[in-house]
Amino acid sequence: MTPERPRAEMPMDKPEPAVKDILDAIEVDYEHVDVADLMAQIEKAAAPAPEPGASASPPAPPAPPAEHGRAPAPPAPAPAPAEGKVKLQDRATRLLSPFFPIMRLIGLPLHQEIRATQASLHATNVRIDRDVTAIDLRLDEARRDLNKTHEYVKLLHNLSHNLIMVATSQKIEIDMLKSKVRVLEKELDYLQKRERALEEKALR
Amino acid sequence: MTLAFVVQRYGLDISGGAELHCRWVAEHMAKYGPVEVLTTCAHDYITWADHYPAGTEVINGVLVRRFPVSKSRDIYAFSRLQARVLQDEHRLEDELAWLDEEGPTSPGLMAYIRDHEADYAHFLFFSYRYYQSYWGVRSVPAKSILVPTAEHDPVIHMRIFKDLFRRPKAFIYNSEEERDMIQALSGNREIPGLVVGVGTELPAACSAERFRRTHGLDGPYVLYLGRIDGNKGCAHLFDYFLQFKRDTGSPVKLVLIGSAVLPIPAHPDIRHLGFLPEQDKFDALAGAELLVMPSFYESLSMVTLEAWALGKAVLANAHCEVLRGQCRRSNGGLYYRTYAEFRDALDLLLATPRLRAELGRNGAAYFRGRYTWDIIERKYLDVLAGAGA
Repeated sequence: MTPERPRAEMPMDKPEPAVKDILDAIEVDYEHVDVADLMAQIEKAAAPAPEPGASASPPAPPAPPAEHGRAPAPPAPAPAPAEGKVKLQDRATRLLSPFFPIMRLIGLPLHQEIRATQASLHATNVRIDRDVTAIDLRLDEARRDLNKTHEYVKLLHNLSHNLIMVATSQKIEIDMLKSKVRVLEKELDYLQKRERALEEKALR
Repeated sequence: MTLAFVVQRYGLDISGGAELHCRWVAEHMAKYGPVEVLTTCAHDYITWADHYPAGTEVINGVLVRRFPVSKSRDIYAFSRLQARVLQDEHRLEDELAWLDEEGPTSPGLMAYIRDHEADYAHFLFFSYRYYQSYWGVRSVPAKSILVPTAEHDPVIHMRIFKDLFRRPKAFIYNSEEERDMIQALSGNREIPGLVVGVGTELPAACSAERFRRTHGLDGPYVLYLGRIDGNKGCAHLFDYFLQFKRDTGSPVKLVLIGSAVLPIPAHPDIRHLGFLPEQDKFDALAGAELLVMPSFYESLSMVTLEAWALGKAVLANAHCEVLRGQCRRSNGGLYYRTYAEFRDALDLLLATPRLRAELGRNGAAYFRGRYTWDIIERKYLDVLAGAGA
């Protein structure tokens, strides 16, 4: 058995805040564990986020582009760099600092372009997700309709099969009755002839 | 009078769910009176080729009568017929032809059942979908008790089975879900039936350490037990597990025990140990964080019950109504329908040992309350008494 480990300490190569947030949101009553209740929480947490406009609290929009004349937020520092490397970076920063306004001026349109592209890509992604969900729903409905139709066709097939069976047996019975009638007619003829012959004999 | 257990295969080396179920119940019911097993000479469930000699033998104190199989299964013809009866409009004769091909076709067994009806108090037929159950129940309906071991798979919708489910004197179901499904399909509510299931044989002691040492395993692992097969949901399990590893970076491993008929992804955290003896299986369970059960179709998952018997939590596929129902009734496991639910449920279980322990405790209580052998035996006796034994 692994020792008890707080959830936050679960080692993760690629931290995924969404998963952690979801798990933090799940409340467990350890005294009376109720699977149905737990699963309702997990299902709710695992459900895809609501689409923008479909809910009262739409997801946060992408970060706004940097304002004109102001530098964008500095990039995050590299993880635990060596001391010499830090000094070198500081020196280079000091050396280049007079040129920063020009660099910003050159870099800003590019930065804005990237942010605008990102925003556009995000919006497209959201739209695609929404469309895919809608298509899935429609597909499910179509599948259900198809299943119903399939069952209906099966029923009709059975019905027509049964009707054919009944009709065929009726036809056979009619043929049989006809041939019986023919036999009876012949028998009647024969009996009439015999009757006549006997009458003649009796009269004689 | 003697009780007859009728099953498609029987033997100590046969580990199929329904066959093992039948063997265990037969061996336990032998305590209460004479018991015989009527079965075929088959061992392989694909071809049904004769393997054991025809005639009688005694296995664990139970007399077994074996009858030869008249024809091996032609798997291609069977596949064609199955596609036809499941997908196309077809006649009753096609379904009967499917049943013949499904096998194991043993006219000798059927003739024996017909000729010796008077010698037996009851015939317990295991697994509705095989030749011996369909024709056996029709041969001796007044003395037949059907243990359907039915799953929610498409063949159950065939017309021949609707008719079959209306014939036996009584039913022994594996779960409430199975009973509801069969009653909804066939409208046989008037036929008495009891949800019983099956117990399990637990070893005297389990050692997680021994298992870890033998197989060189360290760190936490989740366990899958059973045939590694697409039908058992293993393909989904591999996809979900690998995605889970990518998303969370969890160090957990997936340990697989059972024969593989599906390629297993080459990943350092997926360990396939092949088919292991029972003791190793329970040792593996004892060391696992939890049991994962990805199967879509189960009539009663015996490994799930074994996990609960050892106080282990379970993560099951919610698409299988039986597993979902068992998890909810027992409060012994979580379940998932989608990858997101799998990720969140597994992450929650791995991160909270207390929750795992509580679920395991609930599962163990559920097992003790429903699946110990004295309870199973008493329920069987009740059904037999109700059926007029």
